[in-house]
Amino acid sequence: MVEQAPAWAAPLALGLLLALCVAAATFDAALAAGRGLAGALRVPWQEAARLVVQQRRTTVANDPLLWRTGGVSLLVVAALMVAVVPWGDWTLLDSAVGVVWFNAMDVLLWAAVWITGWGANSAWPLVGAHRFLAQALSYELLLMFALISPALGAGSLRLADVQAEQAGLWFVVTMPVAFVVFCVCVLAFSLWGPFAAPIGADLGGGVLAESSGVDRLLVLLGRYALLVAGAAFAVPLFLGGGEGPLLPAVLWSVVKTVLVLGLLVACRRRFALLRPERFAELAWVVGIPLVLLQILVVSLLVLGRS
Amino acid sequence: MALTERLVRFAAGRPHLLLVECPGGTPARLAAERHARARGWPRADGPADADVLAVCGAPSTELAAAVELTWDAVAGPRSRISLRGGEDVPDALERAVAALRDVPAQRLDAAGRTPPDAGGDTGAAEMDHGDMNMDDPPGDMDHAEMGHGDMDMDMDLPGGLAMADRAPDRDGLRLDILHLQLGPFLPAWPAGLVVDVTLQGDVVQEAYAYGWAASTASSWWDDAAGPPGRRAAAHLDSAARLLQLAGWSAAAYTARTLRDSVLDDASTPGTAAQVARLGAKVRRSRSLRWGLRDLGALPAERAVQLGISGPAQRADGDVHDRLLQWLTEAWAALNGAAGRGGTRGEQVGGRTASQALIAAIPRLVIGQELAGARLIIASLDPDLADRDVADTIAKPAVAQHG
Repeated sequence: MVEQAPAWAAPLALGLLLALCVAAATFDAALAAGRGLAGALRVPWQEAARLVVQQRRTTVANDPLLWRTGGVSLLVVAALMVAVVPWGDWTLLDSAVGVVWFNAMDVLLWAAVWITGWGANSAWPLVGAHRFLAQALSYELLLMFALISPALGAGSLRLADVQAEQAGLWFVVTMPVAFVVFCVCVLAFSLWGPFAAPIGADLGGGVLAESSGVDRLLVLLGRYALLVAGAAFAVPLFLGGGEGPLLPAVLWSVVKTVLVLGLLVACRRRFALLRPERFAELAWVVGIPLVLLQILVVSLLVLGRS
Repeated sequence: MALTERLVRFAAGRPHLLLVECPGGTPARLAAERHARARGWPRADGPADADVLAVCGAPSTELAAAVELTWDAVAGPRSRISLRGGEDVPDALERAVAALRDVPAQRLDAAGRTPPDAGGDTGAAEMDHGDMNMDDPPGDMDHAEMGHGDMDMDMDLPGGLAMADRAPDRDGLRLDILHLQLGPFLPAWPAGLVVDVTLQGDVVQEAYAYGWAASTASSWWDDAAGPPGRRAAAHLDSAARLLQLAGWSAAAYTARTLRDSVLDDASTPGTAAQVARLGAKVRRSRSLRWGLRDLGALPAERAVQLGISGPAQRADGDVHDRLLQWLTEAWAALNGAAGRGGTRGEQVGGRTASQALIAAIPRLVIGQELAGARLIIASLDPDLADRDVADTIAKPAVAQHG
């Protein structure tokens, strides 16, 4: 049974989130061509040091409140997502609607990325922000349906119940489509890999085109944190939570999170950029029918069991 | 204080490099890319992301002003180097790192800078906050006034910026329009090219393309005295930039590496096979095909009408076809095919190949989203160091509302 973790576990979870961000950034640097793992170990720290000492840019007639709030909210949203994740037998916040909570946090991202692009009062970030909204319109329904599948399978929106329901048979086996769609949506809301168009090089950095220093660091860190949050969420949803031999459940949760995270990070260099207009076609014409079919299969399985 | 100093020194080991290429600066850019790759320095997408600004080639007066704007937009600690040829690059990069590590000098630099919101420009050189002359109806703009970053800030508007205009869009709605200047410096962008666009949302409604070239330059790629394999390298370079823009950095990296090894020694036996492998990999990628198909379609007969020759005409198709054409022709050139004309094509009816390509940009990008427009321009890749392109100003083309 999943128990509420004591208050002192909150900084511990935050520390884990940040540590996984560093691990993800290191892995990404190691995957970058022409650099070994030894060289990659320094890279995230060098980047962080660089951005910490770099001056913060301002633009003409910007909206500092929106601009800075948007930048920091990616990290905040990721932390709030992680708060409801059960790590083995422990969770910070045993929410009865954990699955919906995740979706609500994701919707906050729409605002977060948008105001980051808007606040700079500059054309490139604004176009990038528009792109993110277009992308969000495409992935949001997919994500909702992908989240509903395991909740339907378990008959509960509580993550602890979803996790417990998978004893013996992980949901990834019965709902592979939902799992893949969920991972795609995590990439999409993390602006990662094929979904990096809102911060694309063709816009000179898009949403990030005017950000430097700490402002930039927070957004970049926030992206990794969102990937971590997505990976951590996939574990109780699809991968049996803390279930596994020998190791304690909490460690299994971490191990599985790291594996999913590695998979997500590696996607960056595997695929070309998916422009939002093309993604819309893919998401609505191919993705949604597929994931609805997945829900039908899950429903039949649930009916057959009862 | 000591901590800041240590952080600055540590961070200077991996500075982000912003390459700003002036027409004719090709050898300097190639050398800078090669040495930056060897050191593991990332490339900056824009001035906000940069630590080192490297100006490749000799800027004309106009470009020099744009370089200054870009330099203003780079946040400190920062350093700037000027690269004229390929030889001085390693030394210049060392100097750049030394300058970044020189904390007292960086403090002095920071103290001497005026905050950007004290009036004047926003900083980013490639940014133009719209047509300042609001009385003119859109579509009736004067190039000489529009394109050159004139900043008459005498209006009483927030920050001296013009508000967005409004105009009918393709569906007959009245929507905000935004004038934006693409170039002369953007990542994966033909050096010295400027395209003024009018956007609604991010759909290009109008476009004007012209060059800011140094008129004395001649194309390095088409230099007959150059080493063999230069044609193959030129196509690989174009392909690498398009792949970069299409977001496939791994394939772009391979293309750049191959370009450099071709320039080192075109007769190395394995290289042609590697180029063929890259071509096959690019051809196989479904996600790339999905992203590029039907974009900027230019059938061969239409290309001929527009005076376009070279790979863009022979590709007889869209952006994806032009990318594959480059890779095919690069492979053919390595196998001894002589190739007709220059790397961009031949002179047709008094216009050079690149002039024809620039002239075709407006008709191809109007109606496209900004991302599509960028890919289309990269797939044409005019070389503004090509003779006489300096004076090219494409005829204004106006969107056809259907």
